[in-house]
Amino acid sequence: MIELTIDGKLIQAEKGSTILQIAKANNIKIPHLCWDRRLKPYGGCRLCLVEVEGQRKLLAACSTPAENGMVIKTDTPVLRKARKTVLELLLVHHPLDCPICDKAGECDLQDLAYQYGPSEGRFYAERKHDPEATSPLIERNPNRCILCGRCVRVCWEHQGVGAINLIGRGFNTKISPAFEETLDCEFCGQCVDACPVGALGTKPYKYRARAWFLESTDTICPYCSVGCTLTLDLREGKILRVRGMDGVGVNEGDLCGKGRFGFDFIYSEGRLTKPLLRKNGEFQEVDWEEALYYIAERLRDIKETHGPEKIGAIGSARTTLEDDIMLARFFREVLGSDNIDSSARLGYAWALKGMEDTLGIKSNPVSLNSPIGKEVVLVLESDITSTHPIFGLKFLEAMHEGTEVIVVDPRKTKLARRGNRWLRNRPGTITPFLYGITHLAMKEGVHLKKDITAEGLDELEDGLREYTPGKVSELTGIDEDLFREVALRFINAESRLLTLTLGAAENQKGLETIHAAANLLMLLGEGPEALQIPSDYSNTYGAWLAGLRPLSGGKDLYGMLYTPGSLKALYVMGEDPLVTMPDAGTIEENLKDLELLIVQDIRLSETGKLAHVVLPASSWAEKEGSFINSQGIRQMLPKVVSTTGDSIADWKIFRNIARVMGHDLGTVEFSQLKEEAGKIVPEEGTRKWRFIPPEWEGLARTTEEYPILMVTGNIMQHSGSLSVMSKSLSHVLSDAFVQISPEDAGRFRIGDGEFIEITSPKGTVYIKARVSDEIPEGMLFVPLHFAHARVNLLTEVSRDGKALLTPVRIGPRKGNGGSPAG
Amino acid sequence: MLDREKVREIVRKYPERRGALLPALHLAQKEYGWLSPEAMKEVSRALNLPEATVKGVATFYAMYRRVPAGRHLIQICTNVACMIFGAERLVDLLKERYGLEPGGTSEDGRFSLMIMECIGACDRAPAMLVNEDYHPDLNEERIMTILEGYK
Repeated sequence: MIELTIDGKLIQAEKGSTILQIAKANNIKIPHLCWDRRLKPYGGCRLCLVEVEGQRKLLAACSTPAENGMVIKTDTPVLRKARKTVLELLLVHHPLDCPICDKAGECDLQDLAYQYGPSEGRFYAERKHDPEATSPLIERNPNRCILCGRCVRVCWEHQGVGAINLIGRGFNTKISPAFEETLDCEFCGQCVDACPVGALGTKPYKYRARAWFLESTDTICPYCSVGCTLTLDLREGKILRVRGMDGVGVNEGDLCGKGRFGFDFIYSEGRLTKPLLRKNGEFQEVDWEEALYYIAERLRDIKETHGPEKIGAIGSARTTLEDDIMLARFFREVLGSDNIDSSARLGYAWALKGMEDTLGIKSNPVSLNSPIGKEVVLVLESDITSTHPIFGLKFLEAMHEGTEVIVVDPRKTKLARRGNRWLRNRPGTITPFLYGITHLAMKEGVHLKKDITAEGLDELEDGLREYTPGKVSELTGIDEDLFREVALRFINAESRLLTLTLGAAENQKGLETIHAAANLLMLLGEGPEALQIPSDYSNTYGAWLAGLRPLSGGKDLYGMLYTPGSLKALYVMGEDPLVTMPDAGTIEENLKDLELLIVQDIRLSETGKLAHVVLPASSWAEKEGSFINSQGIRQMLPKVVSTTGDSIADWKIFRNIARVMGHDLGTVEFSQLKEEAGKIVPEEGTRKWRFIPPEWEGLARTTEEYPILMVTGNIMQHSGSLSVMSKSLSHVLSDAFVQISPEDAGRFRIGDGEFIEITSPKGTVYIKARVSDEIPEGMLFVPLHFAHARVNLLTEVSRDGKALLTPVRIGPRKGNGGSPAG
Repeated sequence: MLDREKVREIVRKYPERRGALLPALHLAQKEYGWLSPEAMKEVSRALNLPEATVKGVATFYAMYRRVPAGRHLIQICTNVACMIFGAERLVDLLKERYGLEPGGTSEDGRFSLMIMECIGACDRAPAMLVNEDYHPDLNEERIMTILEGYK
């Protein structure tokens, strides 16, 4: 600890802090433009100058480490004059177009000029007249730029992208992509929030409102399970933009493109405004009364004729905890059916099962800051910066602070490019990779030194005998020496972390991967904190905890969607199985056999198109509720905008149907439900460890007929089937594509942008090819977001939770050109 | 093509890939004569650094050429000592003989000319560099004889 004086105030602070950090912590305001909490000090703008006793020069507070006994003044006539001059110089080139600048009213430069002057400048020079540069979502106005470089540094240092830079030197410097091409990046928009002036803005917000007319409300992002706080700016009841506020929420102000731009799905033209009832084969708009009476009558009939076990429900990973509770109660209390499940079954449920089998825990919330301070972190076949972008940033941050981030992935993901090491394995071989490390750890006798004993240890040792480094190298395609080096690095590290995702959309990892990861960690004496597996979407974990899963022997998702004749009636809330779940062909057949399919959603989904009745639900911003994020934190959502059409909150729909059916669920108001939801707590486990012997079934089955492995997943700009409703996100990407390696493209004579035919034992689809070195030979990567691509016609469902890559064959689309419908 | 082995050699000398950027750009410039967008993209790929990072650095330093250069680069000093001993006259001469403008390239692609700040040869002014060769004590006759040696 050191002691220093700022503006006459005696302050104690950590050694190594800068003057600015200490001033901020003590609520002493020092102006600055180029400083950003997340970045290394830059000292570029010279506004944070302070006087330090005994120093002849003024010092930049942002880049001067505080020393014991320093006497600092932050506001003196000398400093005011210096700051005034700096601003005067900045304004020589800065256009005074504040009347038409979207930043006006919340512009740091404007505010500082107001505070310090000058009212008139002594210098005159030609102002810049560069054209504005546009891109799908981010607009650049180079003339307003003061070259503080915050955008450049946020993009490279913090996001690990580096899409823009300061190009040139001196007066001619300008911020631009390398060759002044149109910006083609992640479109996270972090640069926009970082810009202290109006040089960067978001396109959807351009010329939409003056800053002082906006009303701000915080809410939680509806996309992934990180649960970022979004600051919504509204005018006349309409959300115009989303910003991250420094230090606010679990994300502390960081946002990804989905969070920042994806909110406009609620304004999609595809929103349902009235209930739809199928009459003579066609949908007709009806009022709620008619829809509810129809549903009540049909459900009652089916229950009486076939029994409650013939009625099932699929819930959503994005509806609120309160909606989920009411769905579960409606099914259990009114219909008497325990056939309830959600998409978690396909992914996160297996992660939970895997951890219960081994570590004896029933829940394992992630900690966003877990990578920071670890010696070695292994990222296993998981594109965390795409699926959970803000969690992904923590791996970059950890790396900057000295953690060695090792990525094992066939895909050249952002972390593969930016991490310390990248090992390219064959798709779906993370499990034997983990077996190999565990085998080496046993040989090293790590567990003996740490006295690790648990059930199954001997069987594990027996089973792992064959997974020698040579064998692992043969299976994974990773060089043997490199594998050995990385394995030993991990085994011998002081502190370590394993991370992977097990999303419903992913098919290259499975239950056996979780077992393998947990085995390794237990053997090294690590607890559950070393295994970080985030849940999928905004409320995947909440749905699980709220009881959207069979609790007393009911049918699960496999039993309901993939077992012919298992149900007569199905209620689907906020999920589109035909797009997001594997083997869509089988699901479609089973849905068509139903006597009653009720789909409750915010738009007419692909599944909805098969329904007998479709109910319009309110979106995330149109109702109160809460989400439980991947950290297990319940976060409240306020009602921000009025409902669309006649839509109502999901939970109210269940309350109303129950009433029509003559049942009072006892819940009238949201407040009662909120209280009930507040009582939900994760289950504990026995915490008794058990090793699971190897169960990996060998390399995925490619054959001569199907020589290529298709991996499915989520990409950066999209999330499940929800984000495609967003106009903004669709500006970046709205067409389905398949990534293919340059080698395979050459071998199968496929050109970039051409339609190709992909055939699996299940069927054939046609998708546009993107030739990319992000993918190794023998692999395809296909995002599942786009309904028109129907990728899930090709995939199979893995009922035992094990990884199930899809073997396919590919070729140029026959008779290239024309419609892709085939 | 950039010699990847040479790039790797450079990379090994520095703790970070970014550190290798300046020498890698020099290597590319030597290979292609100037830093074309393609050359910068190649450096970006070879070092696994964003193109924008490469371009930013390449446009910051004066000794990287971003326009095509001739086969031989003449760098002539016109600072005080060289100026007093007639360097500016030599610059005019190059224009008369080869049509060379400062910063430009002769039509036949033989020479490019850059005006340098001091090259540290004030004791033997005026002086120039042709490619990496040092030529002091210039006069009108000598400079022509020397340049005739570069075809």
